[in-house]
Amino acid sequence: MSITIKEIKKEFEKNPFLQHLGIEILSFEEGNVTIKLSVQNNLLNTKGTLHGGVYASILDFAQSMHLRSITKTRCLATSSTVHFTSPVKTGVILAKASIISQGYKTAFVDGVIKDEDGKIISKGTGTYKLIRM
Amino acid sequence: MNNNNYKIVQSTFFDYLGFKRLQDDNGAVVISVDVQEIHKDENGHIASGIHYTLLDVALGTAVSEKENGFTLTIDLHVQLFDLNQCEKLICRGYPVNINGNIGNGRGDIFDENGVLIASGMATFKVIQNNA
Repeated sequence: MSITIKEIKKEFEKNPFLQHLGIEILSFEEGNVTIKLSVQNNLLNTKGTLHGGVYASILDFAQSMHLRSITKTRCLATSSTVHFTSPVKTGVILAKASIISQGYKTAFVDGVIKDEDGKIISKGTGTYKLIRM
Repeated sequence: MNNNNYKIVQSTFFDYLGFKRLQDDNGAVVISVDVQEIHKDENGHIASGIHYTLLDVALGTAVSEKENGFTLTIDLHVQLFDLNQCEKLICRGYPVNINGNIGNGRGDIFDENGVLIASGMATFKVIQNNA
């Protein structure tokens, strides 16, 4: 029996790293996943802007969640490229993803992070191995 | 400017993830983390974001200290090789090239047994401390 989208969402909600960063899942439907992060002091770099590792982590969450919402299979990142376009100091950021290409075992997924005004603050692409049981 | 004595102060996020800076080794900035539950994903594997953050920190620190400045990441490229369980991640970061206010770094992540886990390169904007 295949796993349902609600069960996949519940699995992600239990992700310890996601909880540690304070990421919220705003929507989790097939092919439509949006996640949100409120910028907190413990996520900043020494210049008071959101740490690059946080951007990369959020993109990975958005990409892997989006991919799983469609394939229903587990996936593992094998490579990632992140472009940091704007620093963020406060407020809320939102991340979404889309599939560039998907084969039986490999998928390429685009991700984008925007601020509350819709301005792009980071974009990235990840390559994921699909774990077929 | 190349000041080998300059050491940057790490961020609140560095502390929040439990990262530690070890003694530099043959020109490498060495950052380690003892893997805890907070570093794992929903399947019990180390979250990819930990690898990305380790490389961003180690490479950024290497370029910052070479140039006595602060770095802002412009782009980051990471390849993940070995996704088996381990107890510790050790990241070694090196400055590669500095050209004006743009710097590049490269680095690798190993587990406690010396197995290569991930490699990465990054581009940084360098802001001089006296700017």
